Amino acid sequence: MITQCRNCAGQLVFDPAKQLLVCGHCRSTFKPEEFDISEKEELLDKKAESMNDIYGMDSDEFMDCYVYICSSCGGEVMINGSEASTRCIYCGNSTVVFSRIARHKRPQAIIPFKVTKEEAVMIVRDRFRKGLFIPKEIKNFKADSIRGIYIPYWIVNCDHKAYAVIQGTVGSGKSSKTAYFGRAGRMKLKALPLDASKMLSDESSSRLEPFNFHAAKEFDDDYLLGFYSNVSDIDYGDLRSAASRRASEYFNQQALASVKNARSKKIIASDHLTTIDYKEMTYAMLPAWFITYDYRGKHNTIIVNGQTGKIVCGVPWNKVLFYSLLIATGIALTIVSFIILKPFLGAVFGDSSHRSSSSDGNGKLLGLLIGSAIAMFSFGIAKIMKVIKSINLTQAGSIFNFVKKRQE
Amino acid sequence: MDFLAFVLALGLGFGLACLIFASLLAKSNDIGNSIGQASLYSGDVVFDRREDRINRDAKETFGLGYIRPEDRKRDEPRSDLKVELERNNVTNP
Repeated sequence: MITQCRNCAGQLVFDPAKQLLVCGHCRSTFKPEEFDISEKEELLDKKAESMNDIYGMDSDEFMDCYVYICSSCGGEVMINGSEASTRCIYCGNSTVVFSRIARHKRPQAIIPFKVTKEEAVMIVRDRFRKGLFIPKEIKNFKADSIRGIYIPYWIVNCDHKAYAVIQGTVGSGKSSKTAYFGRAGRMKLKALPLDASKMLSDESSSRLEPFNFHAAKEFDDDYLLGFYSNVSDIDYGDLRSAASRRASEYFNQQALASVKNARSKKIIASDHLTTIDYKEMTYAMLPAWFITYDYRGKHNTIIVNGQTGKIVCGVPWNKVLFYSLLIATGIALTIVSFIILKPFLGAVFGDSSHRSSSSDGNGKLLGLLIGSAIAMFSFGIAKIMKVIKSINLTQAGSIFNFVKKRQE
Repeated sequence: MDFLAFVLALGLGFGLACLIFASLLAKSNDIGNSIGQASLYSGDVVFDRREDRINRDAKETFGLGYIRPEDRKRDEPRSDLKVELERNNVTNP
């Protein structure tokens, strides 16, 4: 169904720039709050029917497909999975599927889009222009699709109780040794946003934060007009796991920081309990732009926070440029290091017949130098692998899948 | 000695180059790699037990009894959390 213009019964869509509903025909503007539920009453009975039920198909392919009749043109609108709003492929009408947001299951809050589609693309292009290793074809990318999607979230308060045993190294040189530290404590988390869509990974959605919840409004379907949206499809176990992961991360950070005068710290044993206050949870819709483009036959997705404009994406990188610069710099630094080390080693170790009295000290110094060289090289390689892994995470196919199964 | 200096220089030189370029790659291509800071959602941890330099035996038993089995039982799932999708009952035409 759609909320219709009071002046000409035209289609209304929510304009992020004006923060108002705008009629596509007469350009009249309305506040979403002006339309109350009684104006949509007649359309409440319109519900989605499953493909299997309508067409009698007993196929797994259609298990998760539903058909909704467009109230504007009568066309069949296919909706997948947990979609709550979409567009009719025939008339382009924005369709909010009431049955999926029935009154007792409606979100309680929504942060309306503030960043327009054009602004989102401009922010991305500006950012890409500054990327040293972003290929030229991507800097001038052509978007396959740009979709504004409201992601369902549960905003929760929770109590976290945990303990951790931390191993670290204390002292230096000859007197360094391994020590153990114990920390057990509690923390409260308030207004923690956890994405409620199984298809969108928590790693990607959490990177969209922070959202400014002071700008959240009481939920009104009209904010969805012109955008796509999903309903929550997770259960309590999923929510608790997500809350636990986040709370554990914060607890561990503070536990490690509380251990002073130790290095190479790591947690070697821990346990935790996260209790969500499920009477105080808020079900909310938070905005994000999903921009997809193709690069060398592979789909890539950029997510832009629809309120703040923060970009989340792992961009394919120019490997030739990266490795050639890395090798050239490596060679240059090796030459400089050699110029410094050669006379230094000659002076320290020199002719062994005159240095027998300090052979112990020289041995340790040599060990330290060798250890440093190995450690530096290992850390460097490990850091590159970590960055590549992080880039690949946000290029994951699951993000593209969250976007693709929607009507244009 | 020259060979030793060369090997050490190679390790240090390429190691440093890898660290530098990993940072440059992250800054260039890994966009938005930060989640909400802990301070946005939580206060400081209140530590009930805090022991430094515990011995090897104590580290095995440090957390025992801190999270009690009965604490876990209180965390009962709420069965109707999932937003169930409504389906219309099909009527014969």
